[in-house]
Amino acid sequence: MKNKYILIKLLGVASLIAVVILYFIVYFVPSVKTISHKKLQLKDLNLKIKDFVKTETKFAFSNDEERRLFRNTEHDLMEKIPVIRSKEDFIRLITRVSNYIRQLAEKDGVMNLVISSESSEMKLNAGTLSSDSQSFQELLAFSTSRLARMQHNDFSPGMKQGAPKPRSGLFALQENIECHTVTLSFSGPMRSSMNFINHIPWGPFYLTQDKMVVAEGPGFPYCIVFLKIYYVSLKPTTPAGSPQ
Amino acid sequence: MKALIIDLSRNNEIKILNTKISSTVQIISGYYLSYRAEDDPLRVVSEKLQNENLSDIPAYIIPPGDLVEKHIFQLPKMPDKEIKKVLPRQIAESKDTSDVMVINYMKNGIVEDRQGEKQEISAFFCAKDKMFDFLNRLKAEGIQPLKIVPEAQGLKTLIEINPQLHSERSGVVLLDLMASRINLNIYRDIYWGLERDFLFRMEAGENLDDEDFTRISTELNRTFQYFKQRNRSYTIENVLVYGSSPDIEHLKNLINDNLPVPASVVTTDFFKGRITLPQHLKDSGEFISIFTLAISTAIAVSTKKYLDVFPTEFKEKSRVFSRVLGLTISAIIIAVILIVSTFYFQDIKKSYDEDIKQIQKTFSSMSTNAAIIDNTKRERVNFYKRRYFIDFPGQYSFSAANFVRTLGLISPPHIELKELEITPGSQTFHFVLTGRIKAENNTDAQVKFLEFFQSLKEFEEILRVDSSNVNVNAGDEKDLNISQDTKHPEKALQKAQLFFTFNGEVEIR
Repeated sequence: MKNKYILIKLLGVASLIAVVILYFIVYFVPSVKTISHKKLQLKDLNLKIKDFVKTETKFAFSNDEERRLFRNTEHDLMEKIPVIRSKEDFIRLITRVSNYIRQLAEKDGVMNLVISSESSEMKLNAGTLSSDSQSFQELLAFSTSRLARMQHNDFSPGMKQGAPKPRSGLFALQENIECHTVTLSFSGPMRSSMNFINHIPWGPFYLTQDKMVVAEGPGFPYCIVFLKIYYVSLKPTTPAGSPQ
Repeated sequence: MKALIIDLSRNNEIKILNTKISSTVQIISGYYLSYRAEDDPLRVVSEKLQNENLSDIPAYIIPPGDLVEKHIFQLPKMPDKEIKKVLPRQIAESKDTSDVMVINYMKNGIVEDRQGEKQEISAFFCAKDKMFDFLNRLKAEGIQPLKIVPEAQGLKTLIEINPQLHSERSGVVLLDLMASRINLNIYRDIYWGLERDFLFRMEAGENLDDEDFTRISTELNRTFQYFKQRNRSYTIENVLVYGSSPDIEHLKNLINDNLPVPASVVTTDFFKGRITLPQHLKDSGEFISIFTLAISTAIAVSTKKYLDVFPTEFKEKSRVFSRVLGLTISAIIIAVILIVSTFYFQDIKKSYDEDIKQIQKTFSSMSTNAAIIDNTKRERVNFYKRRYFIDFPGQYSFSAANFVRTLGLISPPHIELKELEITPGSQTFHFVLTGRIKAENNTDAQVKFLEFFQSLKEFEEILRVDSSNVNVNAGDEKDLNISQDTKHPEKALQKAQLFFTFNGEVEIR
């Protein structure tokens, strides 16, 4: 009988404690978490406002002159990058670039020039400049073996036409920008070759030179330059990177 | 501990002993109350306690004779645990009742009968309902019952503390003389054996006369005979006389003169060393004999080993209300705390929500400007990027061509530059330059190499250059130009050659 009374007493106390524990688990702890979360949210918002006010007071908003400068800069960049809508456009572009390169090489006094592309779609071997065939053959032999070595060492970004282009740099800045890499192998007097390298970006196309190799030749030094031709592609691209 | 001993064992009279109980019993005061048959004895006690301001003192109750019954059982030898199980059945059988009982017992020792040795038990019991009624009435009258100590315990203690009164196989008669009644208990050694209660006259208040004594003497003789028949091996050796009647001394003398058993009156000497009395009670000759049972019971409870038939569940039951009340109050307090804290938390949450809402509102009004700022920042960044993309091709090709020209200018004739590989970075380009130095000897080759290396380092646009893969005389023998060509003695001197590779970084300007 005594045990019964003690049991009732214990049950009463235990149920009170259980209620308190239950309250802590079900309400108190989640509430504390919610409150601390809200506190952080509030602090974050306050900081954002403080930061914004600080920025706004010091910030110089754009004026017309600056906006004009922005537009001009974009125009300057994009006017050299043609829009390609078809394969024909692309071939036309490559032909025009090849002609430009050839004319420039001739003008700068480069003796031998080979323009090549390893793209499966665009197998190019542009015409050579008028020169003696022996030195041209030597240049071809050098560039073939050197390019093969570079390809073997996987050094050449120009040889990886099929690789997906990282959307960084110019690709990230402008939509639908693509590029096609061609290889220029040439020889000639050092002065002429360097002038040629220097003058390539001056033309009407947006051309960037990537890896360059200058090697000792039997008469004049041999040069290999990977040249990137940029264009805006408005057609779906093939895996090889050239428009259909 | 202050305690009252309330003796309700006799009809029409009540004795209240106010004591302080420790190892000895300090008697503070004693109250003898007589009441009429129509009076409620508990009410009488209650009024007296209230008058004497003793209501707060807990009381040991000597229950009325008709409340707690006693019976002797002879049981086979068994442990206490078994006795506790067996006794309720034995009592139910002997009393032919199914009432739940409050039971306590004392062991009287071993007795022998035809079936062998048996354990004799004096059981004291009361129907639980009856006891609860009694206790509730006590409580209702404001009396605080602490224990219920049967009369037999007090008388046993009286015999126990006086060794001259008990011995093996001896019986002692305890004779309580009241105004018209005698209560008689016979103890075997220290164990209760028989009780009788009889009227010897119809009216109280007069001294004992010959007629009374004749009746008393007859009843005593009959009782003694009965006891002897039931307990053949025992002989009555002492009669102790006590009680509230003023004729105690007279009865003692009459017993001594007419019965073959010596009689004596209970005096202070019987409690020597066990009690302390105030002087005025010491002087009172009647006090000890009136309160003999109460004093003996007080001594019994001071020893901590005594019979108690107080039902423990009564205390528990009486506490149920207070416990329920306590739990309810605790539950209410906890509920209030939880509700208050819930409201408090809700209030905090609400306050934060309002603040966040307000700030978000403020921030959203700013966000238009923020978008303009972000857009302007982005435009400016894009501007610089575009400028970079416009300028980079020209800058890179110029820097690369210029670097090649400069290399041609700074390299002396004895150094053959084999190959230069240039790879563009963001604001710099990396180059790998390989070549060969021809010299007279290794030291000379190394000196020339270091001179060339130094001149490269001095080149302003070169940010970093280091040499790797430097080999002296590592080339083909044919290329060593070691010949005996006397026509070209300067070539014949070219005995050593050094192959080198430079790695470096050039700033694009």
